[in-house]
Amino acid sequence: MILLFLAAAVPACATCHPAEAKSHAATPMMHALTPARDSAILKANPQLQYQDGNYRWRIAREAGEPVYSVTDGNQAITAKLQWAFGFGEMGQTYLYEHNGALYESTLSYYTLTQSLDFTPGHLDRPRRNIKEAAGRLIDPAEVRRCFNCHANNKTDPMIAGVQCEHCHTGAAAHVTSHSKMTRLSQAPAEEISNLCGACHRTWEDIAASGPKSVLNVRFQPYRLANSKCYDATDRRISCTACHDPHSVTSHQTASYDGKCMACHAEGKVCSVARQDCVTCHMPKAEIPGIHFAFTDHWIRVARPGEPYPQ
Amino acid sequence: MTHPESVDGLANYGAALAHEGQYDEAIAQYGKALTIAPDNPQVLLNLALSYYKTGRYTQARDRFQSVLPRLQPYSPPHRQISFLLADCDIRLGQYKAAVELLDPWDRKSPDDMGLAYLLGTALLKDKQLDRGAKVIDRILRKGESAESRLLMGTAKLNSLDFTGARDELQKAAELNPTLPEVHGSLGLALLGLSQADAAAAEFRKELDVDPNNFAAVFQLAILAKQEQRFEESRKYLARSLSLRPGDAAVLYQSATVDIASGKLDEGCRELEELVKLSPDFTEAHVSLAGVYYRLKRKEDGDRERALVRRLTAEAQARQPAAK
Repeated sequence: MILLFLAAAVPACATCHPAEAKSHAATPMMHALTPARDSAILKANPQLQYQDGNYRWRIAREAGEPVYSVTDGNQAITAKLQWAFGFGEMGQTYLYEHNGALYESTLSYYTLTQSLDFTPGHLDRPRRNIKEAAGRLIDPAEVRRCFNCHANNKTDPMIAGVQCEHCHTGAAAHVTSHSKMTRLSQAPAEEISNLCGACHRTWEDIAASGPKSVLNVRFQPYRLANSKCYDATDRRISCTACHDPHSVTSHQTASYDGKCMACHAEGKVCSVARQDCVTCHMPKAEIPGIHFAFTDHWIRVARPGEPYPQ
Repeated sequence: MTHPESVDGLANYGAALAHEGQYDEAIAQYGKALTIAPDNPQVLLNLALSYYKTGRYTQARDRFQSVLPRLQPYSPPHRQISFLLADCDIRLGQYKAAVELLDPWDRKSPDDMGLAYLLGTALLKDKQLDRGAKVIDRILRKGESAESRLLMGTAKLNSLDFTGARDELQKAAELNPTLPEVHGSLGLALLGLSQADAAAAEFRKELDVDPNNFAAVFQLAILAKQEQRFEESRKYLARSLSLRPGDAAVLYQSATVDIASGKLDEGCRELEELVKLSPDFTEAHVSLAGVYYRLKRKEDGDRERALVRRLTAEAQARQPAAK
């Protein structure tokens, strides 16, 4: 079991970078991990239930704490939810402790349906007993990987959520001695892809180990690097060229046109349209059971009926 | 009295050393004996056994193969050497060769459960699942045993039913905790269930039972790499390579350990060698592309990445759903 502590966000960064600190505070990354008791989703939904076969799941608020319970009518497991993963753009998954070990909840909350449903990867898991129905045991090595991405484990005590130093290595030293920091805004596309890919999966991760199916639409650095227009050395096609990690992601498709035009303003330009490029060239793809349509970052001329390029 | 430098003298001395567990010294004596009598079957056999005992399965296999044709077909020594040779093949990942070697014996002795177990292992590892299932049935009809549970677990591992495999293999371990392969296979099932720490513990138990279990040594190397314990990983990889010389998967992991520990040029060179030997090894091309980019060799990186895309697209086109 890893020991987890909470601390306030590093206020030192905000002193000199107030705009970034303020806008970042509203991002899903900032809230990638919260103590379950503080989850806005669970506060707004004090009673959540789900039934599948003999099993009935329930998340209910008791004395200010979210309590997860599963029963098959004869036996039951009840545990206090410890951690909520994800801000809820797509959904939220929970960890609970049982007999000294951490488990991933079988059910997650999905924003689109505003209800519980199976956590990705859980639908086909065997549920031969109440323990298996409740959740999946998380090995300490996997726990470390979960918190590596969803928390600022680079600081001690741990800070929940993705904060400044998660990406800006050396921030602590910079605060105390004003030492030089790497200017990520000047980094080439490949470097940024690998930085973001440390959590969102790199091209190498997926190309080597999969998944090679629509399931990989979630892993944007892999999809982007397969695009014909991807150039490892060109900043104009890096993750941060379109997405400011300090701000909430825009869902206005037209807001990305300027990014495309940074390269395509001259020469061969699309014969169909001059706006909303991403609606055609970055089609949405749904992963079965996840109740969310992901934007496919493999930028291409997507023809109707063509199979999803893996 | 036997002259100490005669074939018999050297062979006897070698056998005495082997009996004391001094296999390397025994191998040296057998080597001297073979310089005098290169085709002496007893010396060749003893040499093979010493290689086998020390996990040098390629050398052991070569010697067993040279001895086998000189034995009377289907005699007890022929049977013993055939089984040892098949075990070498299995340990070297040459499952088809093991099946071919064991099939005639199985037709001759269908009630030999030791043989059935060995054949079942080779069939399942060679993904001949239907034939493997029939062998498992035969073993199960003889009653519950650790061997039958191990084969069931192996079959479930093959079909990626990690939970089922774990349950079978835990039962096998309860029935016979010293049966080779049990803990190693249980480790693989636990890895499939993302329980890396528990898997590592099982791989270590396997090495207590069988220090030459390739899968256990190799997986411990990968787990150590993932935890950034690179020196430990290198030791396990060196051991893996001694068990399976030239194994592409081991060479690939060695290169990635070098890359992960910052030795980019060395890792790059190793990967370039590897893709020459195994041009369809997609993962090696993937890592090579990555290291080219890190070395600022964009054109090389682009070329490798394009190659990976082509290999992936070809694999997708071969999938039934794509047709």
